Amino acid sequence: MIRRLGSATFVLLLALFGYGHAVDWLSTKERPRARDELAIYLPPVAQLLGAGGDRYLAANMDVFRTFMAGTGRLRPEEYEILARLHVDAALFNPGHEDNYYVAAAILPWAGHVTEAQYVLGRAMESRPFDYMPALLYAFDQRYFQKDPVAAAGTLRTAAARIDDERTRIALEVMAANWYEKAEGSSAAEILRLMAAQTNNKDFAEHLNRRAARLDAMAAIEVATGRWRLERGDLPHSVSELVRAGFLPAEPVDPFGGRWSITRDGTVTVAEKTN
Amino acid sequence: MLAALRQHAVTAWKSGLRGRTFHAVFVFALLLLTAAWLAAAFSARQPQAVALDVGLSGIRISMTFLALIWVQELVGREIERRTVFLVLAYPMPRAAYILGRYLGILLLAAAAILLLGVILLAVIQISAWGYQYPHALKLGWPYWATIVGFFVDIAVVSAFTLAVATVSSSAIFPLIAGAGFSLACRMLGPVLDYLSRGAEGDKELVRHFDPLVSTIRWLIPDLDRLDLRLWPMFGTSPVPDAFLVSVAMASCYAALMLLLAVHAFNRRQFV
Repeated sequence: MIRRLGSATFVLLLALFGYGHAVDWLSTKERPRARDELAIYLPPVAQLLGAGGDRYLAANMDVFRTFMAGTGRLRPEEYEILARLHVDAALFNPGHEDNYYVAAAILPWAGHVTEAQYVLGRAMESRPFDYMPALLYAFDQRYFQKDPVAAAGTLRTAAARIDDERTRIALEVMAANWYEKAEGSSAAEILRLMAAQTNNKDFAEHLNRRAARLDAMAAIEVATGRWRLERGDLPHSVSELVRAGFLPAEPVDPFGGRWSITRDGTVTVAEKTN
Repeated sequence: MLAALRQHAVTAWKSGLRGRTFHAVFVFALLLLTAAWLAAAFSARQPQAVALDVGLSGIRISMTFLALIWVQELVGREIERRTVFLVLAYPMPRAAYILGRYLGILLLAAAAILLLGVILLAVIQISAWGYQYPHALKLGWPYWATIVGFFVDIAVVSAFTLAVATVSSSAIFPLIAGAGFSLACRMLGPVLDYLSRGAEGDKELVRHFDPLVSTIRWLIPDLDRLDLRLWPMFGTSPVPDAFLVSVAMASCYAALMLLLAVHAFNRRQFV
């Protein structure tokens, strides 16, 4: 009996030691990450099946999946699936706050403006108390769809939903500027506002970098305008602007991209290739 | 009849509370509520709303399992093991057995959902994860109305499973049928919504499935209509008429299932 108990204790200690050692060893090993986290897309009906028929759970699963994609640069086909996940989440739960917020932060910048506007439009309808979806919808209309008049109208809808008078007036003023098609750094301001409203540090950093890129582009555009005014033609590159003293230094793109000036004077940025 | 009904309900209540599977599933429900607390940490802007959302899904899923298990243990297994003979030997109508057991299951479900509802409220309170939510959740009447909606949902699923149990000779079949039924009924609403919005432009899909789903909607109740969680989460109050009619639809369906169950049980030959 004692011998049997001794053997059992020995096995128990051995198992505990083995388990502890294995956990300790694994904790230092980096987990392999699949490159194709967003390679598979299930149609909405299959997603519902996976969520036990619960549309809200299906929406949450979609949104968690978009979180897993992170803020790094994805392949075009991955952005395609990301956009569909956001659209599906909006179909299941149009008021999902994280869904509209993350969709607005990622999709339009990857060329999926229609999907972002669908998500934001659904959120605007189902969240009448919330000014953010309308504000972000207006931003996309202004910045991506180049429709300042419609954007100003939506911005006024957002303003009407704000209780704080100062913020409401600030948005009304911004809407007035948009009606006048005034250029400015309001786009960057909206991104910084979004960054301030999240507790997700990765997203906040991503949005702040986007805002910094817009600030840099605005500075180059102003310098290009001054060059055109003084010399009558356009500079060929940003470094030319620096050499001629129109810019104190070449702005650094926070995403590592390279600036260029097109023949009609538009400032563009070529994304850094991996 | 009433005395017999009460006696069966009390027996179901006591046996239901004693069941080991019930304890295991209840622990599973508590784990799901812990998962709701953890899920809140993933949220970018709405930790407490995510806790509420995932927690409500957890309650709905675990309550479904609980109801299925109670029907299986309190009716299905008694039929399978023939212990139901002992009950039928007493001079009381067979209907009292079915309706009494159903009433007992409803009482158990009401107590469990109430307890889980209170626990979820506590979980939400500790799920802010250091972030101030931009708008307050509505955790008063809107929250409890959602819980009531879930209870009606569970009552329908229980009635259907009970009806299957009265005609089935295996205890596991009602469990599978009930789970499939709850899945189909909850999916029906979102699928109808998806098709009515054009299925993301897939006209072929709409053409093929629209007639089929339009037929199914008459055969099974749209339980998604009883899910009111947009109210506590975002303040979107339900259309009162639509909700009341949905409760009436669910109650009528449950009554039909109970009638079927009683009819089948009365005619059943136990040999």
